[in-house]
Amino acid sequence: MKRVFVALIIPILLVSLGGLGVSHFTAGTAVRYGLSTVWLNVGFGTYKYKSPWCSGQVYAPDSYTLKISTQVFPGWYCWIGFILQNFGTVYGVNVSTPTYTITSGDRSLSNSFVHNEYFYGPWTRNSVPNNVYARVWVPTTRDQHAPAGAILPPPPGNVPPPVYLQPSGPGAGSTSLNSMVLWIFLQYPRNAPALCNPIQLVITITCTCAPPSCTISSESWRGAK
Amino acid sequence: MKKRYKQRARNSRVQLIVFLVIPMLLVSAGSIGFAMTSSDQTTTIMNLDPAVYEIEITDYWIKSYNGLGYATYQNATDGSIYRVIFTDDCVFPGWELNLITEIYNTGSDCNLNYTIYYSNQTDPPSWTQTNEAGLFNAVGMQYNSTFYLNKSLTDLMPAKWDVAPYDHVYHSDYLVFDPNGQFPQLEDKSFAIEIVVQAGPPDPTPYLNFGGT
Repeated sequence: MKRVFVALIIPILLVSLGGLGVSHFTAGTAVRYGLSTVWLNVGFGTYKYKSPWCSGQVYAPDSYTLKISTQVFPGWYCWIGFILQNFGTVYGVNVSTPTYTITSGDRSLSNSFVHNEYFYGPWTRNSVPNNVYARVWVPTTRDQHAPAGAILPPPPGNVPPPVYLQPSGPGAGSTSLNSMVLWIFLQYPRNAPALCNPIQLVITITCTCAPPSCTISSESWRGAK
Repeated sequence: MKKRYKQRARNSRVQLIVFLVIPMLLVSAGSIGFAMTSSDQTTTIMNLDPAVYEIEITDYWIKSYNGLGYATYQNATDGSIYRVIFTDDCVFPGWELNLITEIYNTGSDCNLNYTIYYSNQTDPPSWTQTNEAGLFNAVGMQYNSTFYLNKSLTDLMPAKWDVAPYDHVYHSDYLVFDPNGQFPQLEDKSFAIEIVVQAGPPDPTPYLNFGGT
Protein backbone atom coordinates (compact mmCIF):
# COMPACT_ATOMS: atom_id res chain seq x y z
CA MET A 1 0.00 0.00 0.00
CA LYS A 2 2.86 2.34 0.90
CA ARG A 3 4.52 1.65 -2.45
CA VAL A 4 1.31 2.39 -4.30
CA PHE A 5 0.90 5.56 -2.27
CA VAL A 6 4.44 6.68 -3.03
CA ALA A 7 4.19 5.70 -6.69
CA LEU A 8 1.05 7.79 -7.07
CA ILE A 9 1.83 10.79 -4.95
CA ILE A 10 5.38 11.54 -6.06
CA PRO A 11 4.65 11.87 -9.82
CA ILE A 12 1.51 13.83 -9.06
CA LEU A 13 3.42 16.14 -6.74
CA LEU A 14 6.09 16.67 -9.39
CA VAL A 15 3.54 17.47 -12.08
CA SER A 16 1.69 19.85 -9.80
CA LEU A 17 4.85 21.56 -8.63
CA GLY A 18 5.85 22.02 -12.25
CA GLY A 19 2.58 23.80 -12.93
CA LEU A 20 2.95 25.92 -9.80
CA GLY A 21 6.60 26.70 -10.41
CA VAL A 22 6.00 29.94 -12.25
CA SER A 23 3.64 31.41 -9.71
CA HIS A 24 5.85 30.22 -6.85
CA PHE A 25 8.55 32.67 -7.78
CA THR A 26 6.27 35.62 -8.06
CA ALA A 27 4.76 37.48 -5.19
CA GLY A 28 1.05 37.57 -4.73
CA THR A 29 -1.83 35.25 -4.50
CA ALA A 30 -3.35 33.18 -7.21
CA VAL A 31 -6.43 31.19 -7.83
CA ARG A 32 -6.17 28.42 -10.30
CA TYR A 33 -8.94 26.44 -11.78
CA GLY A 34 -9.22 23.08 -13.35
CA LEU A 35 -10.06 23.82 -16.97
CA SER A 36 -10.56 21.86 -20.12
CA THR A 37 -10.94 23.94 -23.22
CA VAL A 38 -13.33 23.51 -26.05
CA TRP A 39 -11.94 23.25 -29.55
CA LEU A 40 -13.65 25.80 -31.73
CA ASN A 41 -14.53 24.63 -35.18
CA VAL A 42 -15.41 27.34 -37.65
CA GLY A 43 -14.88 26.87 -41.35
CA PHE A 44 -16.41 27.79 -44.64
CA GLY A 45 -19.19 25.73 -46.10
CA THR A 46 -18.59 27.24 -49.51
CA TYR A 47 -16.58 30.03 -51.11
CA LYS A 48 -16.51 32.26 -54.17
CA TYR A 49 -13.69 34.08 -55.93
CA LYS A 50 -14.78 36.80 -58.31
CA SER A 51 -12.58 39.02 -60.43
CA PRO A 52 -13.12 40.61 -63.82
CA TRP A 53 -9.83 39.16 -65.03
CA CYS A 54 -9.59 35.60 -66.08
CA SER A 55 -6.26 34.52 -64.72
CA GLY A 56 -6.58 32.90 -61.32
CA GLN A 57 -6.69 29.49 -59.72
CA VAL A 58 -8.64 28.75 -56.58
CA TYR A 59 -8.28 25.65 -54.45
CA ALA A 60 -9.61 24.72 -51.03
CA PRO A 61 -7.65 21.83 -49.51
CA ASP A 62 -10.07 21.79 -46.56
CA SER A 63 -12.86 23.84 -45.01
CA TYR A 64 -10.43 26.12 -43.23
CA THR A 65 -7.98 27.04 -45.96
CA LEU A 66 -8.45 28.69 -49.32
CA LYS A 67 -5.55 29.03 -51.73
CA ILE A 68 -5.71 31.54 -54.55
CA SER A 69 -3.03 32.03 -57.18
CA THR A 70 -3.39 34.91 -59.56
CA GLN A 71 -1.53 37.62 -61.39
CA VAL A 72 -1.78 41.17 -60.23
CA PHE A 73 -1.40 44.55 -61.93
CA PRO A 74 -2.22 48.07 -60.79
CA GLY A 75 -6.00 48.31 -60.66
CA TRP A 76 -6.57 44.58 -60.20
CA TYR A 77 -9.17 43.55 -57.68
CA CYS A 78 -11.17 40.58 -56.53
CA TRP A 79 -14.09 39.72 -54.32
CA ILE A 80 -13.80 36.69 -52.04
CA GLY A 81 -17.00 35.41 -50.49
CA PHE A 82 -17.54 32.80 -47.82
CA ILE A 83 -20.41 31.19 -46.02
CA LEU A 84 -18.74 30.77 -42.65
CA GLN A 85 -20.24 28.16 -40.40
CA ASN A 86 -19.76 27.29 -36.76
CA PHE A 87 -19.41 23.52 -36.90
CA GLY A 88 -18.78 23.36 -33.17
CA THR A 89 -21.56 22.03 -31.00
CA VAL A 90 -20.76 23.57 -27.62
CA TYR A 91 -19.98 27.27 -27.81
CA GLY A 92 -20.89 30.17 -29.99
CA VAL A 93 -18.17 32.19 -31.68
CA ASN A 94 -17.62 35.76 -32.71
CA VAL A 95 -16.27 36.26 -36.22
CA SER A 96 -14.19 39.42 -36.44
CA THR A 97 -12.55 41.49 -39.12
CA PRO A 98 -9.81 39.56 -40.97
CA THR A 99 -6.16 40.46 -40.78
CA TYR A 100 -3.89 40.75 -43.81
CA THR A 101 -0.23 39.76 -43.68
CA ILE A 102 2.38 39.44 -46.39
CA THR A 103 4.29 36.32 -45.44
CA SER A 104 6.72 36.23 -48.34
CA GLY A 105 7.97 38.82 -50.75
CA ASP A 106 8.08 42.56 -50.24
CA ARG A 107 6.40 43.05 -46.86
CA SER A 108 6.29 46.79 -47.33
CA LEU A 109 3.47 46.23 -49.82
CA SER A 110 1.06 45.16 -47.07
CA ASN A 111 -0.20 48.72 -46.79
CA SER A 112 -0.54 49.05 -50.54
CA PHE A 113 -3.56 46.80 -50.80
CA VAL A 114 -7.03 48.20 -50.36
CA HIS A 115 -9.38 45.89 -48.52
CA ASN A 116 -12.94 46.16 -47.29
CA GLU A 117 -14.99 43.57 -45.47
CA TYR A 118 -18.74 43.11 -45.43
CA PHE A 119 -20.46 40.89 -42.85
CA TYR A 120 -23.95 39.44 -43.18
CA GLY A 121 -26.01 37.26 -40.90
CA PRO A 122 -26.29 35.16 -38.91
CA TRP A 123 -28.70 32.64 -40.31
CA THR A 124 -29.24 28.94 -40.22
CA ARG A 125 -27.16 27.26 -42.88
CA ASN A 126 -30.14 26.54 -45.08
CA SER A 127 -31.61 30.02 -44.86
CA VAL A 128 -28.67 32.11 -46.07
CA PRO A 129 -30.39 34.49 -48.51
CA ASN A 130 -29.44 34.07 -52.15
CA ASN A 131 -29.15 37.81 -52.61
CA VAL A 132 -26.19 38.08 -50.26
CA TYR A 133 -24.27 35.11 -51.62
CA ALA A 134 -25.56 32.89 -54.40
CA ARG A 135 -26.66 35.71 -56.71
CA VAL A 136 -23.63 37.90 -56.21
CA TRP A 137 -22.02 38.38 -59.57
CA VAL A 138 -19.04 40.33 -60.91
CA PRO A 139 -18.75 41.07 -64.63
CA THR A 140 -15.72 39.62 -66.30
CA THR A 141 -13.87 40.70 -69.36
CA ARG A 142 -15.74 37.97 -71.22
CA ASP A 143 -19.15 38.21 -69.63
CA GLN A 144 -20.56 41.63 -68.94
CA HIS A 145 -24.23 40.71 -69.20
CA ALA A 146 -25.64 40.17 -65.75
CA PRO A 147 -27.83 37.08 -65.39
CA ALA A 148 -31.36 37.59 -64.14
CA GLY A 149 -31.43 38.47 -60.47
CA ALA A 150 -27.70 39.13 -60.25
CA ILE A 151 -26.50 41.28 -57.35
CA LEU A 152 -23.36 43.36 -57.66
CA PRO A 153 -21.09 43.28 -54.64
CA PRO A 154 -21.23 44.37 -51.94
CA PRO A 155 -24.80 43.19 -51.47
CA PRO A 156 -26.90 45.49 -49.28
CA GLY A 157 -27.71 44.62 -45.69
CA ASN A 158 -24.28 44.18 -44.18
CA VAL A 159 -23.88 44.35 -40.41
CA PRO A 160 -20.98 45.56 -38.28
CA PRO A 161 -18.56 42.90 -37.02
CA PRO A 162 -18.24 40.81 -35.01
CA VAL A 163 -20.98 38.45 -36.00
CA TYR A 164 -22.01 35.92 -33.38
CA LEU A 165 -22.52 32.38 -34.64
CA GLN A 166 -24.42 29.96 -32.44
CA PRO A 167 -23.11 26.44 -32.05
CA SER A 168 -24.46 23.90 -34.46
CA GLY A 169 -27.37 21.91 -33.25
CA PRO A 170 -27.57 18.14 -33.48
CA GLY A 171 -28.27 16.57 -36.84
CA ALA A 172 -28.96 18.04 -40.23
CA GLY A 173 -31.40 20.88 -40.68
CA SER A 174 -30.18 22.59 -37.56
CA THR A 175 -32.18 25.59 -36.47
CA SER A 176 -29.23 27.31 -34.84
CA LEU A 177 -28.01 30.58 -36.31
CA ASN A 178 -24.59 29.18 -37.05
CA SER A 179 -23.87 30.60 -40.51
CA MET A 180 -22.90 33.97 -41.92
CA VAL A 181 -21.65 35.48 -45.14
CA LEU A 182 -18.42 37.41 -45.42
CA TRP A 183 -17.40 39.29 -48.55
CA ILE A 184 -13.86 40.62 -48.83
CA PHE A 185 -12.91 43.20 -51.42
CA LEU A 186 -9.19 43.24 -52.17
CA GLN A 187 -7.56 45.62 -54.61
CA TYR A 188 -4.08 46.50 -55.74
CA PRO A 189 -4.64 50.19 -56.49
CA ARG A 190 -4.22 51.78 -59.88
CA ASN A 191 -1.63 54.22 -58.62
CA ALA A 192 0.53 51.51 -57.05
CA PRO A 193 3.74 50.50 -58.80
CA ALA A 194 3.64 47.26 -60.76
CA LEU A 195 4.64 44.26 -58.70
CA CYS A 196 8.21 43.22 -59.39
CA ASN A 197 8.26 39.92 -57.53
CA PRO A 198 5.70 37.41 -56.30
CA ILE A 199 4.22 37.96 -52.88
CA GLN A 200 2.13 35.78 -50.61
CA LEU A 201 -0.72 37.50 -48.84
CA VAL A 202 -2.41 35.64 -46.01
CA ILE A 203 -5.89 36.67 -44.96
CA THR A 204 -6.77 35.32 -41.54
CA ILE A 205 -10.30 35.30 -40.22
CA THR A 206 -10.13 34.75 -36.48
CA CYS A 207 -13.11 33.43 -34.60
CA THR A 208 -13.11 33.80 -30.84
CA CYS A 209 -15.10 31.83 -28.34
CA ALA A 210 -18.24 33.58 -27.16
CA PRO A 211 -19.82 31.49 -24.40
CA PRO A 212 -23.39 32.12 -23.30
CA SER A 213 -23.85 34.58 -20.45
CA CYS A 214 -23.57 33.22 -16.89
CA THR A 215 -26.68 31.86 -15.33
CA ILE A 216 -25.17 31.08 -11.89
CA SER A 217 -23.85 34.00 -9.90
CA SER A 218 -20.53 33.73 -8.08
CA GLU A 219 -22.45 34.17 -4.82
CA SER A 220 -23.91 30.71 -5.27
CA TRP A 221 -20.52 29.11 -4.97
CA ARG A 222 -19.68 30.47 -1.54
CA GLY A 223 -21.44 27.65 0.28
CA ALA A 224 -18.56 25.35 -0.51
CA LYS A 225 -16.62 26.82 2.38
CA MET B 1 -7.10 -2.71 19.40
CA LYS B 2 -4.11 -2.98 17.08
CA LYS B 3 -6.38 -4.03 14.24
CA ARG B 4 -8.70 -1.06 14.77
CA TYR B 5 -5.72 1.31 14.78
CA LYS B 6 -4.51 -0.09 11.43
CA GLN B 7 -7.97 0.35 9.95
CA ARG B 8 -8.12 3.94 11.15
CA ALA B 9 -4.69 4.60 9.74
CA ARG B 10 -5.74 3.22 6.35
CA ASN B 11 -8.81 5.46 6.36
CA SER B 12 -6.67 8.51 7.04
CA ARG B 13 -4.45 7.55 4.07
CA VAL B 14 -7.47 7.33 1.85
CA GLN B 15 -8.58 10.73 3.02
CA LEU B 16 -5.10 12.09 2.48
CA ILE B 17 -5.02 10.75 -1.05
CA VAL B 18 -8.41 12.28 -1.80
CA PHE B 19 -7.46 15.65 -0.34
CA LEU B 20 -4.09 15.74 -2.05
CA VAL B 21 -4.77 14.11 -5.36
CA ILE B 22 -7.93 15.89 -6.39
CA PRO B 23 -6.60 19.45 -5.91
CA MET B 24 -3.33 18.45 -7.53
CA LEU B 25 -5.13 17.04 -10.52
CA LEU B 26 -7.12 20.24 -10.79
CA VAL B 27 -3.98 22.33 -10.58
CA SER B 28 -2.33 20.22 -13.28
CA ALA B 29 -5.33 20.46 -15.54
CA GLY B 30 -5.40 24.20 -14.92
CA SER B 31 -1.86 24.50 -16.19
CA ILE B 32 -2.90 22.81 -19.39
CA GLY B 33 -5.99 25.00 -19.63
CA PHE B 34 -3.98 28.18 -19.65
CA ALA B 35 -1.90 26.92 -22.52
CA MET B 36 -4.85 26.42 -24.82
CA THR B 37 -6.61 29.16 -26.71
CA SER B 38 -10.26 29.45 -27.48
CA SER B 39 -10.07 30.64 -31.02
CA ASP B 40 -10.19 29.24 -34.49
CA GLN B 41 -8.96 30.53 -37.81
CA THR B 42 -9.94 30.38 -41.41
CA THR B 43 -7.08 31.27 -43.70
CA THR B 44 -6.94 32.47 -47.27
CA ILE B 45 -3.49 32.17 -48.81
CA MET B 46 -3.09 34.37 -51.87
CA ASN B 47 -0.09 33.83 -54.10
CA LEU B 48 0.08 37.03 -56.05
CA ASP B 49 2.44 37.10 -59.01
CA PRO B 50 3.34 40.11 -61.09
CA ALA B 51 1.37 40.14 -64.29
CA VAL B 52 3.49 39.02 -67.25
CA TYR B 53 2.78 40.45 -70.67
CA GLU B 54 3.85 38.10 -73.44
CA ILE B 55 2.47 37.75 -76.93
CA GLU B 56 3.70 36.00 -80.02
CA ILE B 57 2.76 35.79 -83.66
CA THR B 58 1.39 32.35 -84.43
CA ASP B 59 0.40 32.96 -88.04
CA TYR B 60 0.32 35.63 -90.73
CA TRP B 61 -1.11 36.02 -94.19
CA ILE B 62 -1.67 38.60 -96.88
CA LYS B 63 -5.28 39.48 -97.33
CA SER B 64 -4.80 41.83 -100.28
CA TYR B 65 -1.78 43.06 -102.20
CA ASN B 66 -1.06 44.51 -105.63
CA GLY B 67 2.74 44.57 -105.74
CA LEU B 68 5.70 42.27 -106.35
CA GLY B 69 7.10 41.93 -102.82
CA TYR B 70 7.34 39.00 -100.46
CA ALA B 71 7.06 38.25 -96.78
CA THR B 72 9.46 36.39 -94.51
CA TYR B 73 9.66 36.07 -90.75
CA GLN B 74 12.14 35.91 -87.89
CA ASN B 75 11.87 33.42 -85.05
CA ALA B 76 12.38 34.04 -81.39
CA THR B 77 14.64 31.67 -79.47
CA ASP B 78 11.61 29.63 -78.41
CA GLY B 79 10.66 29.08 -82.02
CA SER B 80 7.75 31.48 -82.10
CA ILE B 81 7.55 34.21 -84.70
CA TYR B 82 8.36 37.59 -83.32
CA ARG B 83 8.74 39.61 -86.49
CA VAL B 84 7.19 39.42 -89.94
CA ILE B 85 9.25 41.19 -92.58
CA PHE B 86 7.71 42.36 -95.82
CA THR B 87 9.98 43.55 -98.58
CA ASP B 88 9.09 45.28 -101.80
CA ASP B 89 11.56 47.10 -104.03
CA CYS B 90 8.96 48.51 -106.45
CA VAL B 91 6.51 50.52 -104.43
CA PHE B 92 4.42 52.70 -106.72
CA PRO B 93 1.66 55.24 -106.22
CA GLY B 94 -1.47 53.23 -105.45
CA TRP B 95 0.55 50.36 -104.00
CA GLU B 96 -1.40 48.68 -101.21
CA LEU B 97 -0.95 45.85 -98.77
CA ASN B 98 -3.19 44.30 -96.16
CA LEU B 99 -1.19 41.99 -93.91
CA ILE B 100 -2.85 40.01 -91.13
CA THR B 101 -1.01 38.66 -88.11
CA GLU B 102 -2.47 36.20 -85.65
CA ILE B 103 -1.39 37.18 -82.15
CA TYR B 104 -1.45 34.72 -79.27
CA ASN B 105 -1.43 35.83 -75.63
CA THR B 106 0.94 33.59 -73.69
CA GLY B 107 0.96 35.87 -70.64
CA SER B 108 -1.52 37.51 -68.32
CA ASP B 109 -4.66 39.43 -69.18
CA CYS B 110 -3.52 42.35 -71.26
CA ASN B 111 -4.46 45.23 -73.51
CA LEU B 112 -2.91 45.51 -76.95
CA ASN B 113 -1.77 48.65 -78.63
CA TYR B 114 0.63 49.48 -81.39
CA THR B 115 3.37 51.98 -82.12
CA ILE B 116 4.52 53.15 -85.56
CA TYR B 117 8.16 53.72 -86.41
CA TYR B 118 9.72 54.74 -89.69
CA SER B 119 13.20 55.14 -91.01
CA ASN B 120 14.37 57.02 -94.10
CA GLN B 121 17.15 54.53 -94.55
CA THR B 122 17.02 50.77 -94.61
CA ASP B 123 20.55 49.56 -94.03
CA PRO B 124 20.67 49.93 -91.12
CA PRO B 125 17.37 51.58 -90.21
CA SER B 126 17.33 54.55 -87.90
CA TRP B 127 13.92 54.45 -86.29
CA THR B 128 11.75 57.43 -85.48
CA GLN B 129 8.52 56.97 -83.57
CA THR B 130 5.54 58.55 -85.22
CA ASN B 131 1.80 58.21 -85.75
CA GLU B 132 -0.43 57.77 -88.79
CA ALA B 133 -0.25 61.44 -89.79
CA GLY B 134 3.48 61.60 -89.22
CA LEU B 135 4.02 58.50 -91.33
CA PHE B 136 2.00 59.91 -94.17
CA ASN B 137 3.89 63.18 -94.07
CA ALA B 138 7.24 61.47 -93.90
CA VAL B 139 6.97 58.75 -96.54
CA GLY B 140 3.56 59.19 -98.15
CA MET B 141 2.20 55.97 -96.69
CA GLN B 142 -1.36 55.79 -95.39
CA TYR B 143 -1.64 53.37 -92.53
CA ASN B 144 -4.66 51.84 -90.84
CA SER B 145 -4.48 49.40 -87.95
CA THR B 146 -7.40 47.23 -86.90
CA PHE B 147 -7.67 44.46 -84.31
CA TYR B 148 -10.18 41.65 -84.75
CA LEU B 149 -11.41 38.96 -82.40
CA ASN B 150 -11.89 36.27 -85.02
CA LYS B 151 -9.91 34.83 -87.85
CA SER B 152 -12.53 35.71 -90.43
CA LEU B 153 -12.01 39.34 -89.45
CA THR B 154 -15.67 40.11 -88.89
CA ASP B 155 -15.65 40.97 -85.18
CA LEU B 156 -13.82 44.14 -84.39
CA MET B 157 -11.94 44.15 -81.11
CA PRO B 158 -13.44 46.86 -78.91
CA ALA B 159 -11.15 49.57 -77.59
CA LYS B 160 -9.27 48.61 -74.42
CA TRP B 161 -10.37 45.02 -74.90
CA ASP B 162 -8.94 42.66 -72.32
CA VAL B 163 -7.10 39.88 -74.11
CA ALA B 164 -7.31 36.88 -71.82
CA PRO B 165 -4.48 34.39 -71.40
CA TYR B 166 -4.33 31.89 -74.29
CA ASP B 167 -6.60 34.03 -76.45
CA HIS B 168 -5.90 34.70 -80.12
CA VAL B 169 -6.59 38.04 -81.71
CA TYR B 170 -5.89 39.27 -85.24
CA HIS B 171 -4.16 42.43 -86.30
CA SER B 172 -4.65 43.97 -89.71
CA ASP B 173 -2.01 46.33 -91.12
CA TYR B 174 -3.40 48.19 -94.12
CA LEU B 175 -0.85 50.26 -96.05
CA VAL B 176 -1.47 52.39 -99.12
CA PHE B 177 1.33 54.32 -100.81
CA ASP B 178 -0.15 57.70 -101.63
CA PRO B 179 2.69 60.14 -102.19
CA ASN B 180 0.26 62.75 -103.46
CA GLY B 181 2.26 65.95 -103.95
CA GLN B 182 5.47 64.36 -102.64
CA PHE B 183 6.18 62.50 -105.82
CA PRO B 184 8.75 62.64 -107.41
CA GLN B 185 10.58 63.68 -104.19
CA LEU B 186 9.92 60.15 -102.89
CA GLU B 187 10.99 58.57 -106.15
CA ASP B 188 13.86 56.08 -105.86
CA LYS B 189 13.97 56.27 -102.10
CA SER B 190 14.29 53.47 -99.60
CA PHE B 191 12.47 53.58 -96.32
CA ALA B 192 11.35 51.18 -93.63
CA ILE B 193 8.25 51.04 -91.51
CA GLU B 194 7.84 49.03 -88.35
CA ILE B 195 4.57 48.44 -86.54
CA VAL B 196 5.19 47.16 -83.02
CA VAL B 197 2.28 45.57 -81.18
CA GLN B 198 2.70 45.75 -77.42
CA ALA B 199 0.89 43.96 -74.63
CA GLY B 200 0.36 46.03 -71.51
CA PRO B 201 -1.67 46.05 -68.33
CA PRO B 202 -5.41 45.68 -68.81
CA ASP B 203 -7.45 48.78 -68.24
CA PRO B 204 -9.48 48.32 -65.05
CA THR B 205 -11.67 51.36 -65.75
CA PRO B 206 -14.71 49.48 -67.12
CA TYR B 207 -14.89 47.42 -63.94
CA LEU B 208 -14.36 50.04 -61.29
CA ASN B 209 -18.08 50.41 -60.65
CA PHE B 210 -18.16 46.91 -59.31
CA GLY B 211 -16.35 47.48 -56.06
CA GLY B 212 -13.16 49.05 -57.30
CA THR B 213 -12.11 52.57 -56.47
